[in-house]
Amino acid sequence: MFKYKRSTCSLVACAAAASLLASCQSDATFDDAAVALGIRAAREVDPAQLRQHITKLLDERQLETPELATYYYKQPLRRVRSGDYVDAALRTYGYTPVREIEDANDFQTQNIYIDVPGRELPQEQVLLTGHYDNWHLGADDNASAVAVLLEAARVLRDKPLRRTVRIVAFDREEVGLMGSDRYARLHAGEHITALLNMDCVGFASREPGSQSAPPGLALRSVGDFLTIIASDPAAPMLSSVLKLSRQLPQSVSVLGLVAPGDGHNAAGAAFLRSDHAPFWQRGVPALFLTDTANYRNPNYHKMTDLPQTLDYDFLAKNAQLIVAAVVALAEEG
Amino acid sequence: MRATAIPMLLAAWLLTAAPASADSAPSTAPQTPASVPLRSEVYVPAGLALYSGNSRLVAGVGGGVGYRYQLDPTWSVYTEARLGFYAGLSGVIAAGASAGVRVGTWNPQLGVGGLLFAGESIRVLSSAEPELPGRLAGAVVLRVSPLRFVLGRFTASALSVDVGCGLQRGGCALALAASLLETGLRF
Repeated sequence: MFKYKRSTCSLVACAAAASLLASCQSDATFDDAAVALGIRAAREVDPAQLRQHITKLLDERQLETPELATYYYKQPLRRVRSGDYVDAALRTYGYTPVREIEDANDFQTQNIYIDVPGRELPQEQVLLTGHYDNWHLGADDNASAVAVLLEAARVLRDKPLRRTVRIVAFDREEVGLMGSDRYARLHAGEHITALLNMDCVGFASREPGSQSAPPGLALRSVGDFLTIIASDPAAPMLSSVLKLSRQLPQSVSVLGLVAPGDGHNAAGAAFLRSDHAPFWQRGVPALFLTDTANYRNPNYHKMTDLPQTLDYDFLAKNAQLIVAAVVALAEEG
Repeated sequence: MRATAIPMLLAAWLLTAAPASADSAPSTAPQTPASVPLRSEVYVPAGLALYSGNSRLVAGVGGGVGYRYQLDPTWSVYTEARLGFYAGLSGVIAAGASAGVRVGTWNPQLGVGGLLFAGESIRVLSSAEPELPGRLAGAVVLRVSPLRFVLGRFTASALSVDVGCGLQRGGCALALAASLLETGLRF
């Protein structure tokens, strides 16, 4: 899928050279045609649409009587009206969404997805995902990502790429990644070549000291960047997306992290907190895109996670990068 | 607390168990013929390793095996390999030279060397530096073994530390390989 320019030096040769420098690297880039198509699609992202989706989603959520879910300190979980909004918005764009309903273990999940069928390799899928359930009203977590999902669906309609693009809104992420776990199990036989999962992509701060990090990890101190986290199999894809981020008309500052192995270990535990985790476990090359949630946003999982706290310029730049990346991944030769 | 107390107790036992004059120089080692100096040593370090920089974080808890050769009563060279488990499997190769003194069974050492970290790590990239960091990371370190003891054919060391500068783009990363306990056999 990617072009690799592996250096010819082997591990043994590097050690023998005793350079003590990390000189064996693999390189990955999207091809020029895929990048050009991605940038063209990114230009179609409409910041006003993103803001409108978030406003409407929160209006809908305010009308819903929440479940008092015991999973997270009896917080109010809302999901039904958000799911209906996603379904309706996708229909207005001309799609026929699939609602995948599963009842098990006293919990119903309704994952919602649409396909933009591929023109050459329709059996190969590039997934763009995010969850639509939320605690309280959840502007950043996760109306911001739902808005990007819907805007990507609008931009990509009538644009068949080489591979199929599937846009999936997961249910019950906030209750143990239930929706994505069920989806990954049900669709285990499908050929997912890449997955981009968004969770909290709209909050930024330019205040010094606004960014914290899991223990042992030194991130930047100003929380004005998007973080993209890959497992080892997705590391070349992450490198490609970072290069793509520099080519966009409005570039966004991105920090990339590669978790060891499939992330299911002591060092990767902090990176498993969203819907990409079940796919990492199954070896799917998946990226997790986030503003780092509680490591930056003081409103995380609180009643104060409201639309006026978001940075819409940051959100729009993130959306442009995400749309460009999905197009490049689906079009790559 | 318990983990660090064990090597300290062992070290204290080694200090008190042997007469101070019994092994004051290699040529007078009591348990070996004076004509056969014990120059080689195989030892087993157990502890942790850490490399923390702006392009990677490697951490591991584990152990390994090392070889030390005594050039003369003061100087020795060493090489060792360790495997650690934390994020997955990490490995550290060390090599260097050290100098020491002998006061009875006490044989503190100070040295310089290099560490080569390999294996699983959290790697860091950015839109400004989008290339994947390689799998290997090197460091220049100072080795400090303040609680090393020699008793005939046997050696023990507690709280031996390799600490120094990891080579990375734009500066220096913290590189550390610490042995909570190290036991060895001279031959």
